[in-house]
Amino acid sequence: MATSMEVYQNRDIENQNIVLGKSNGKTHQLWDIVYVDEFKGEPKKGELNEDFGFYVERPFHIISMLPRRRMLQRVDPASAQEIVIKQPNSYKSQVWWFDQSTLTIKC
Amino acid sequence: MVRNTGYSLEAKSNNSLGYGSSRAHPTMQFRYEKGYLINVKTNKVFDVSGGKDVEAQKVIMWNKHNGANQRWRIVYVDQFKEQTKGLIEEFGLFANRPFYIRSRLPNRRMAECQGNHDVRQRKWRNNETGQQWVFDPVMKVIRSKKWNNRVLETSNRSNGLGNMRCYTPSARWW
Repeated sequence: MATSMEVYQNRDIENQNIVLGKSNGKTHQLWDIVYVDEFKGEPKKGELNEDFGFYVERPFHIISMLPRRRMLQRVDPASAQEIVIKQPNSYKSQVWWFDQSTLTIKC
Repeated sequence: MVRNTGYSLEAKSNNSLGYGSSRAHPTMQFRYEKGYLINVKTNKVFDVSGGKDVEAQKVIMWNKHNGANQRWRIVYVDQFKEQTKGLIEEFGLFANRPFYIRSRLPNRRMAECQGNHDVRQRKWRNNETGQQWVFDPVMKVIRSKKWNNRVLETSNRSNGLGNMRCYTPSARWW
């Protein structure tokens, strides 16, 4: 039986155990070998995070490709926590940025 | 300079998209790939609900398909400039420059905005502004030259078919 190193329970969280499981080809069993002398480190502010496709800490709009080209906007107040599309309106709630520390899109 | 509210986008239960306190969790992590915004855990993508291109329409998470309602463009603020003059290449129309929409049928009739909001083809008439249209580069709509508050619209039926109308956007007929 072929076995592979895998991230236990496919949970992508800090300190999660790595175990040996039956090979299944799923992402949590796939690994890259990156040589230290070629590793560039994590992208810094203004640099592209190639895995996620965003420049770090560089504000951006998210524009729908539907005909009116509306922008993604956060609905305030925070209690609603909805995301909608609206015409460009210069509000900060239409500006987003990628945070390298959490790998999330912040508003 | 970025503004940090402490919130990040989040894929929530029941296919909804919202935001919450930032944390490095797969439900809050999305990658941008070939025009899709994809959740790293579920592979579901940002989706304009129902494909309705209307103001304040909700955005949800949905399984990926080829619809335009799932396609997005990332435009960095330092490069964003809304074009309001000249040829708007994305739409193939000049901004605020009146034009006719002329049929290629033998009689070469013009699309005309009628008083009852229908759009019909009619023979060209000099100075008939009902036959003239203007592309509005801000709203991304084609307006009637004669009735500036009316825009050229398609039916909102699910198959997209039906009569063309020239209608006031704030008073939709569907």
